Amino acid sequence: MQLNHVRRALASATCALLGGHASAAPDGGDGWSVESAVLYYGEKDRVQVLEPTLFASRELDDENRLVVRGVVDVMSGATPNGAVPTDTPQTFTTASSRYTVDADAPPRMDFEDLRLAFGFDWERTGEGGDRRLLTGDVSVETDYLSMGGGGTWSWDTRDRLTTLSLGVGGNFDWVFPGGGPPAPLDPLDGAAALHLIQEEDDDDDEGEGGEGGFEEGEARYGVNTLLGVTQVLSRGALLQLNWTHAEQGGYLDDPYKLLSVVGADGRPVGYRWESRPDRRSSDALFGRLVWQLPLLHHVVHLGYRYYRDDWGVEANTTDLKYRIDLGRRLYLQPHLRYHRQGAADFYRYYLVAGEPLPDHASADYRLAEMESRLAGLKVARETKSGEMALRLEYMVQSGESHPDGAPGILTGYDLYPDLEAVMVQFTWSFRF
Amino acid sequence: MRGRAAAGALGVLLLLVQGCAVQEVKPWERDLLAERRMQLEPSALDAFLDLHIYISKEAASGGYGVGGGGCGCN
Repeated sequence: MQLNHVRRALASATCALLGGHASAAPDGGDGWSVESAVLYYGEKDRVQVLEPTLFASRELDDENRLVVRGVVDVMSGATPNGAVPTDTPQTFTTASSRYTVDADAPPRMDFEDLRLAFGFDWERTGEGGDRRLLTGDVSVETDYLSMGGGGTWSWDTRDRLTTLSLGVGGNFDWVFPGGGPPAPLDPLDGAAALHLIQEEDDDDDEGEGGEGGFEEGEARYGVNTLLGVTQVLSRGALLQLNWTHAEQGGYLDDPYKLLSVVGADGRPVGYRWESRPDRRSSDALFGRLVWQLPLLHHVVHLGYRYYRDDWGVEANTTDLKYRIDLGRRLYLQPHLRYHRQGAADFYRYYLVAGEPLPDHASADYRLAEMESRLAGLKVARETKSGEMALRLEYMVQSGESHPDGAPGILTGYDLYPDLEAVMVQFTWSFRF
Repeated sequence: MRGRAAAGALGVLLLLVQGCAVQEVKPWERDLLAERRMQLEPSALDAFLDLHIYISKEAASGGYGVGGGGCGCN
């Protein structure tokens, strides 16, 4: 999956902290500033994640600042495998697992995984006031390794009302599912897969994945660039505009996603692995307004992003946070977010038996046309050296239940069941 | 082509902002802008966790910064 989340969050946050217009870093001074959190993310009948996270930052001297961070993801639950439901039980046998799904149930694959991620930022302010940010990240899972880094340079105009930013980054990932990545659009060969499973059982020394483990993985890589402008609009308003461009290449498939091949009655006659193009080019235009309302002194954070790529995905995302201070230390922050995306050109609910195979096809629900709505509330109390906060959020993703002309029994099933998720996050930041 | 269009749109927006909406702010008038709640990203950690979720569950990404570091998220 295309994920460049680690750097983007930090680059954004760090640029904000370094921004010449609003440069009073909240965690300046000697010693370490620590921001820690535990997030529970739970989907109804699907994925559950517990995510402890730690950020620590320190001013090394007048010009240099270091941020280190660590994340642990403890993941479990079930994720849609891409197949459609049917009126009989379905058994899926792959090179690393075999599982059966009940009749009429949405096909999902149970999983457990652990992800460890570490990263750093090194921020340096030059004598002329220019700022340089260098970052590095490593993330490890039982079937995925990711390494990334980037640099962002920022300059203020003479009046220090405008900041220009230029950034470039990249990542190299290694995907190594048990049994090795499946060949695109290959049929699931239950007998062959079962043979592989038995071979792995016979050889305890090969570890997770056995034959086709780490060394049999596939590479995924990417380069991304940023051009940004931050503008002070008034004493209480700030505007940021970013344009980012990303190029991805290599193995971009999800090695666990497949498609049902259905007959005229809508019942599956087989399954095939998904296939995505091995290149992806994307652009995102992002704008963000921070505005302190006169008289009320509430603070509005309003963001909008337009996204488009050459897989045919087009998306609009709007995000609103509204901070209401209650006294000197307590504040509430409602959060609303709306995301709408079009489907990738090669998204299919299923393949039809007897029809020619397309070059690419995927039933990954994340590549479908869909809407995502989120509502949340943060309650926080600022302390002498930081903050304690509780965040509760609820998200629903919904898409079309059926494509036009769905055959046979498929009209009786919801092929895109809603995804409902709750997020509970406790944050504690302090200094020592 | 899309890149040039996006860059053009960014330039037009900047010109509009510069020409129509910008007020001069003196150094001694930056008290509000210096508050933590007025930073572009008041909590790096919240943004980090949010983006992890969105990028794991949606087809779109980008716009916030550069760099790398992903996951095989489900």
